[in-house]
Amino acid sequence: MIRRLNYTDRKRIKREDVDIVLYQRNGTPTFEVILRLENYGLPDDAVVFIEAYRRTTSMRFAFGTVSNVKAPNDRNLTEFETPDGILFRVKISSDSPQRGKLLAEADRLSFRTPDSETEERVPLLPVQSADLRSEITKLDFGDKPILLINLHLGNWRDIARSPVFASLVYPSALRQILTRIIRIEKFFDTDDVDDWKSHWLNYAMQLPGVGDVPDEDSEESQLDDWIDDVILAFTKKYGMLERFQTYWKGEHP
Amino acid sequence: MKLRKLNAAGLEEFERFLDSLTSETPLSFPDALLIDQATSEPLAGDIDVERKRFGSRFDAAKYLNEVLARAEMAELEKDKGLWAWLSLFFFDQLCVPDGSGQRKPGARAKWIPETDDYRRYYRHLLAGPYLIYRSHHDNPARAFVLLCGPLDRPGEIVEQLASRQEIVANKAVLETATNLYIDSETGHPKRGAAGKTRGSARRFAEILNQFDVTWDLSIMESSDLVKMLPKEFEKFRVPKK
Repeated sequence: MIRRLNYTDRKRIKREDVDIVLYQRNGTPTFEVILRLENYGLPDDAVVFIEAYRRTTSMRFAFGTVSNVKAPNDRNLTEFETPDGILFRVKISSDSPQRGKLLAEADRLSFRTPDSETEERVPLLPVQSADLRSEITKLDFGDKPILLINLHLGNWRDIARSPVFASLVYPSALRQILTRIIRIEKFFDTDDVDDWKSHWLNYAMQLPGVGDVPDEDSEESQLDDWIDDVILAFTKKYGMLERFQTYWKGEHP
Repeated sequence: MKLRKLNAAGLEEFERFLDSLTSETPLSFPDALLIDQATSEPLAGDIDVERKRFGSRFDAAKYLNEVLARAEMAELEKDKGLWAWLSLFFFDQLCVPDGSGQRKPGARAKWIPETDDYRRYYRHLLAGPYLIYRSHHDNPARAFVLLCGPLDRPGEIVEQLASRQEIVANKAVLETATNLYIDSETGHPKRGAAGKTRGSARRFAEILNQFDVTWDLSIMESSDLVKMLPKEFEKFRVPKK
């Protein structure tokens, strides 16, 4: 069973101790952060960094030290054309004696907007636009699965919600993701709250009529059967056949 | 020639040209795309660009850094039209004919940058070295491990290390990799650096992934990082004189 081991007693900063507000300034996303670090017993001189990231793009900002958290003047997220799907991580590292040793961390932090009290929920499968050239859609497995829709198609949010797209793409995406997890990465852990793969396995198991994730020693055919069960339950739950039929009859009355 | 950028029609024609090169009826070099107003547009700043021959990715990156510093253009590094124009302008040395005289352009990301995806973005034959050089403009030599190769063949070390933005931007990591893998006398990679064996650049990337869980590599010094490396890297270390 694969688990991420925390050999260094790194502290996990709670989500409620990081408040990130993202807003637009002159068309560029920028952000404010409130950090509450006083209860973690971190050394005063430990250095604080905040990283904003999405897929393969990231930006890093120095926020001073634990005893003197100081936001940099330039917090413009210039590497990101839109704020959609930007996540943040906070890293607090030793300055001495072992410079760079990670002491505390919070990852996959979402932001809220100035007029919202709560953070934007991070969906299990974020949908974003990207320049896919002649491809309509694809799954990106960079950090965690993201469904990309070609930005040249125009209103990609409407496309993502359309019955034909949903009925054809989402079951296939789910199959790809589960195949990736249990067949390619051979990951069967359902308890790792920090790992996207655990999140997906738990999602699959809660679908009606789906059993527990097979053991890692299972035959390949058993793994495939389990994935088939999940996809069937998923398509049934969300009425994918009916959605597609409705679309098809509209096109071919 | 004045620096320009391809427009949508120019990009389409450039792709058509690239596609044709591996067909039975390759098109002749579309020089006109570079200046035709229907396929390209001028850049503000009236910038001259010379069709120089570059000995390495480093030389090209240095030259582009100088030229593009004069461009009055925001976020030029993400402008597909600009980088496609430059690829076309320098095409002759970016796509060298093979023994049978055929030019094989390979993946499209080498010619038109995929700016949405950093893993592919760095593969652009000109934007890739430029981005690396610019990230280390205070001391570009530390990034030599990613810039020493010929322009048309970035090589295995680049493939292993340059696809992650956090590695490319990390001073300690690149300084360490350059010290480990580049022969300071010849300026070329040491034997075995680009392979799959122990201590190779591929292994270095794997070790960095492991370190990343417990260390913030961005604030470390190369001297700290070297001390943490396993014994398998010793064969690449330069003995202290």
